Amino acid sequence: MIETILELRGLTTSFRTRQGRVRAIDGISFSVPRGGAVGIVGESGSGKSVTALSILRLLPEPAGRIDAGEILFEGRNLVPLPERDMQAVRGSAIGMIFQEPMTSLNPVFRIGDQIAESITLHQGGHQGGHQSGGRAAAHARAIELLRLVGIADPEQRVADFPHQLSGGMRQRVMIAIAIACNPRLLIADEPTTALDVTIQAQVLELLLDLRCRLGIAMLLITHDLGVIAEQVDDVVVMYAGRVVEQADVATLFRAPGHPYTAALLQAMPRMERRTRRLDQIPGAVPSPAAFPAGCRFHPRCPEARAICTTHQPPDFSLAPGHVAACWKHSGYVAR
Amino acid sequence: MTQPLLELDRVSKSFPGQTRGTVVHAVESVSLAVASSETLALVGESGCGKSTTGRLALRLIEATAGHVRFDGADLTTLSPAAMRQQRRAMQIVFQDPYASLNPRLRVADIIAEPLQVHGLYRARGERADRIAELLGMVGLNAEHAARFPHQFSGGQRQRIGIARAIAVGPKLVVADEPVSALDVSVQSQVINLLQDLQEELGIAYLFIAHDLAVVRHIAHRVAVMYLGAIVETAGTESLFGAPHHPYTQALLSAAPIPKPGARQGRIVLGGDVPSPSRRPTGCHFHPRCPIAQAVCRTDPPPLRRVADGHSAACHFAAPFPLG
Repeated sequence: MIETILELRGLTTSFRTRQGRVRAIDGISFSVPRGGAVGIVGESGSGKSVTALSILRLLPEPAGRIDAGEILFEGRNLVPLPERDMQAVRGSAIGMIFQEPMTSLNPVFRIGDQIAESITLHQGGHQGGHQSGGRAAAHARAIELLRLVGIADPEQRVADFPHQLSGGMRQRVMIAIAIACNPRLLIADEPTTALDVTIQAQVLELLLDLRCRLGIAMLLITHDLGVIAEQVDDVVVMYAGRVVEQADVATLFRAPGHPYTAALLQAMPRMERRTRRLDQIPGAVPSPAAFPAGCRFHPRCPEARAICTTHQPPDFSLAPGHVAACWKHSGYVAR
Repeated sequence: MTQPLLELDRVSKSFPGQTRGTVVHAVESVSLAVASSETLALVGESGCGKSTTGRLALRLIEATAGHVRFDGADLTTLSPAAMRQQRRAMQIVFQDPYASLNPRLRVADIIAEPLQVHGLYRARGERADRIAELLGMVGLNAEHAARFPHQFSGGQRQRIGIARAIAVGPKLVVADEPVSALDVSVQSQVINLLQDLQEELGIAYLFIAHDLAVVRHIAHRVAVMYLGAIVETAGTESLFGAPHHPYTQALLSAAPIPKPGARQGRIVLGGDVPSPSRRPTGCHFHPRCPIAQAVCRTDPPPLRRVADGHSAACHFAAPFPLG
């Protein structure tokens, strides 16, 4: 039995909008094994980033709130946790990396101080011992972390301000902050989307290397199926606020169970081979204020039937570890 | 190739730098040609000069040196009046469908603006007919004409941008990252649309992109840029099948492949792209190049022919991937 580090059970998050309360995610369930790598893939509006923000309890309250469900981190439900306890979880037990490294770093502080801040904030009291020795230790640790994430001349760089660094280097600094307190889980939301492809390759290589060396579990959120294929063991496919399919990465690409996953793979231009014409998915991703009834993919689905327009499909279990929420699998056992 | 539709002949563009006395060499001696009904893709990372090259081709910015020829005329010496005439044949589609449409204009007025500028309709009815026809060509309905941009999704907005570009019947469209901002499921719709329009109307595209999979799909020929210069150019199959320049090889190798287990090892380039205001001497790529020799630090390699229709600017160009 593989130990689970994170488990979501029926997580539902809504936002207050002009159209009333709108559910951005609706009954999300999946789990991340300890030391494993799980990817969430989805298009804009699928709810993948809201899922990450909900886990970290970083929703813009009171507009955004968790309505239902549980977030079990190492067996403990994070949803009812007071903000004080949540602060201890964020950064120390769960590290996070966001898409835009320029806006995630404070422009008026030296990067060394920003790394040290996260160390003293989370470990100052109990791990470093004395407060005075804590500062110097945190500074030394900042240099060590910069070296770990592959920044040359860390002794000099530690005194740089964010604007003195390139986009790739800033993302390395963000990773250094994220792993500063030895988290057991890293949540990375589109960590390479803002980067050029040769720099993306460097950062992905670094993430893979750190995970292997430090044994950190990772929840990687991306729209890029190429990044998914190369970085994770298991994949959660989201569409319009719901999980439509879950599978190990090889199965997902070889035998996708949900028509949306299949269509997404077909619609992608490939670098390995040239196709005459791309398959296209008709229509557009629906907005959370106007999610269709029944299966939310049905208006765009080539295989939609009458039941799809009225009833939400349950998760059908196609094989161990492979579930798809699609009525065409109604011969299988529903989870 | 017979007479190309668009020809850039050693075109350069430099801007004054942020600090006094420095010069940013955004584009340096770029030569390229696009034939009618052809798609040439300009590929490279941010800051490589691909968008600047696209704007130079349309004379939206003035070149510091070199010539741009379009349909036989030298654009660089054309009078403003003659240039305005010429613009009917050359249009542009932008990356961001949210920022490139005026939010206060109705779709009909957005599409009709270029028609009006070039005096392409006489009566009100003629205008409405043409707008309806253009909306149909890009997969929208005549009813959409009365709406505002915010009432559309990203993919539909990009269709409006395309309708505006083809309204005046251009021979060339510069498409600057036209699908980069779109979701995968919508991206393929727009790529197919661009291809259909090329087939129907014989439009040539100068297609600026960083996504190599999209380029492989849509382009007939590809030019790879690095720090303002073309480092390799070839037919699409030749470029992807046998990249000769170490930068092209690294670029192709860096792109994640959406097929688990397909990765055979990757060339990961060290360092970052240097600033165009402080370009390395010799071959601009040498500080990051895995096969650089002493000569690369001093002598800039010329773009030379390595195969039929395939050129690379490398002293050690070879048709096999490194690593």
